[in-house]
Amino acid sequence: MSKISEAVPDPLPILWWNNTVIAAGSPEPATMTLAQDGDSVLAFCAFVEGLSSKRVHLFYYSPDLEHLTTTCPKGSRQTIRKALSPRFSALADPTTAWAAHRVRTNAAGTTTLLYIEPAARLARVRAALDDRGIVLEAVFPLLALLEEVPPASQLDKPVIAFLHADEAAAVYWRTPEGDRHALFFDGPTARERAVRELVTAFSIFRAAPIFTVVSAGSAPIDLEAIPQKPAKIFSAGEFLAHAGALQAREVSNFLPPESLFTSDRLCHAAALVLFFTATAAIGTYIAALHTAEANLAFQRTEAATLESDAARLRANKARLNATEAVLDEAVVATPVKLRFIEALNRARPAQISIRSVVLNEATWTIAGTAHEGVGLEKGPYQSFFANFSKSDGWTISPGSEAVLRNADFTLNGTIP
Amino acid sequence: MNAPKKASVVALVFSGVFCAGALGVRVAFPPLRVAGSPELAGLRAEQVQLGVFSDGAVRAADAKLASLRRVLWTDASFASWRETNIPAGWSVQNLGAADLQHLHGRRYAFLRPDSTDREWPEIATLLGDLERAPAASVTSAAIAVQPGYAGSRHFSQCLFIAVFYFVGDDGPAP
Repeated sequence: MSKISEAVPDPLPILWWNNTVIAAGSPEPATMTLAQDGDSVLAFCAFVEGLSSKRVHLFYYSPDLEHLTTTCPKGSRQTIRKALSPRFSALADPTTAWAAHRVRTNAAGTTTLLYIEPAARLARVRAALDDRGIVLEAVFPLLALLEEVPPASQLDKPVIAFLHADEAAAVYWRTPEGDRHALFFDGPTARERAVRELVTAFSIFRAAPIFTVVSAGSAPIDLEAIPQKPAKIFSAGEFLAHAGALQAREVSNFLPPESLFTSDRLCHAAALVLFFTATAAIGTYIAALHTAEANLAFQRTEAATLESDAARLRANKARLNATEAVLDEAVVATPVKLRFIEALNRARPAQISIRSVVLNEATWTIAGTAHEGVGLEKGPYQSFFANFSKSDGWTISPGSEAVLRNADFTLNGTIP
Repeated sequence: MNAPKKASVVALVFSGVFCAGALGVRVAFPPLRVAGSPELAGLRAEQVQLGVFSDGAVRAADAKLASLRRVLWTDASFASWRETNIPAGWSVQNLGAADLQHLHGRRYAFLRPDSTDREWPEIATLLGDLERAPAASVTSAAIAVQPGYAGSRHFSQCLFIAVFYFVGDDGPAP
């Protein structure tokens, strides 16, 4: 077994035909012959694991496969399954691996070569490779690749092909009418029996068909018995070099790509959603914590400022109270006393004499005598009363006598 | 649909636990954001209440107090004023300290015994001087004449009482 060079592009094409396994590679393909006893799947997977490629396209044939030519509508994989399920009940089972050559039109209508895998071997291969971190992207029938390789790919010409490995061989031919046939041979005498079938096959062509040989065996085969020389003899490496002609989504893939909505992907998607939700929750939580801390810091700063202001204002209040206590005690009585006495002298007519005047801080009292006009409603007293009451520096108390009943009178009032 | 891989299930479980933990922490320990702190509200209210005691109000009150202090009496200034303004024939009696807590006030009685209306000009002058004197308050003025026509020109009482505010321990430091 030789190691595959890193230069081989992904996916890596591998041929697996009975016990022969050949992986494309440069300068030489890697080959392996699986032991007759033992688990061939595990042996194959171990071989692939050593190739340092994580994506694989497999070109496959096994005696376990059922294969036949059948009429078939053109269309998607789903259309073909639906059309063929009534005739091939295994196709109704979604777990059954099956593949169909590209549907071609011939005299019988549209036909294909159909392969059905009764046992779930390929699914097991894919799972085993998956466990090793290798993706088996597609598994194509061996002859499906043959149909894509020139010169056999020329649909307007009859084709006959001979393919062989060490203990396996196949004869494929396509008539000028477009009918396709394939025969597979297994065992130590497979190549000899296939050559005899090849001779028979040649006999059905009236004109020389395009003859192609694919040699995947360790030893060359003697084609002297064949009446026509091959137009092209492919080695396994040359044959696999055309692997890119087939894509994973074609109906010739036994293991079509899974739906986007697999349980595995749903698990990953849900895990991602949960992870990002958690990350976002943590992020917003941390942001909210920072905001809350900033808010608290702002409030603490404001509280400190307010406390400082309040302390200053309380000190102001104490100082103001002390100052005002002093100022409040420095009471100076309204300076009206001299003006009061002078006004009293001016207002007093000769018929009125004043006996006493007492002026306190807020009240005053005058005692006097009216020498005329007692009992009169209009006389010297009324004149004095009217004149004296015209002042904004003092007021005469309500109820003071406006009409004298006695000669002696008393007036009092307030100094605002 | 096939069963998911063990690694996918483990990732899902891990993410689920991680998410539940993150959300649980958020719920259990929510960030505290105090919208209306009672302490802060109290401080704001106190500041509004104390707003009237501004630095400006203190300066204005201090200015008033300084003005008062400039005109407070001293023993010397009072003696000088008394010598200048009290005519002969008047009696000045110290009635003692006024009942004050923050100022030193002295109550004085100014008496003019045996006065007549001829002394009225000096009586009026003294009363005017007392009323105009700074840091002094005329708390009482009492004038009475003797009875009868003849007595009306003789004052039986001529008394002024005034409080003079003197320098002393009178309030906050300037």
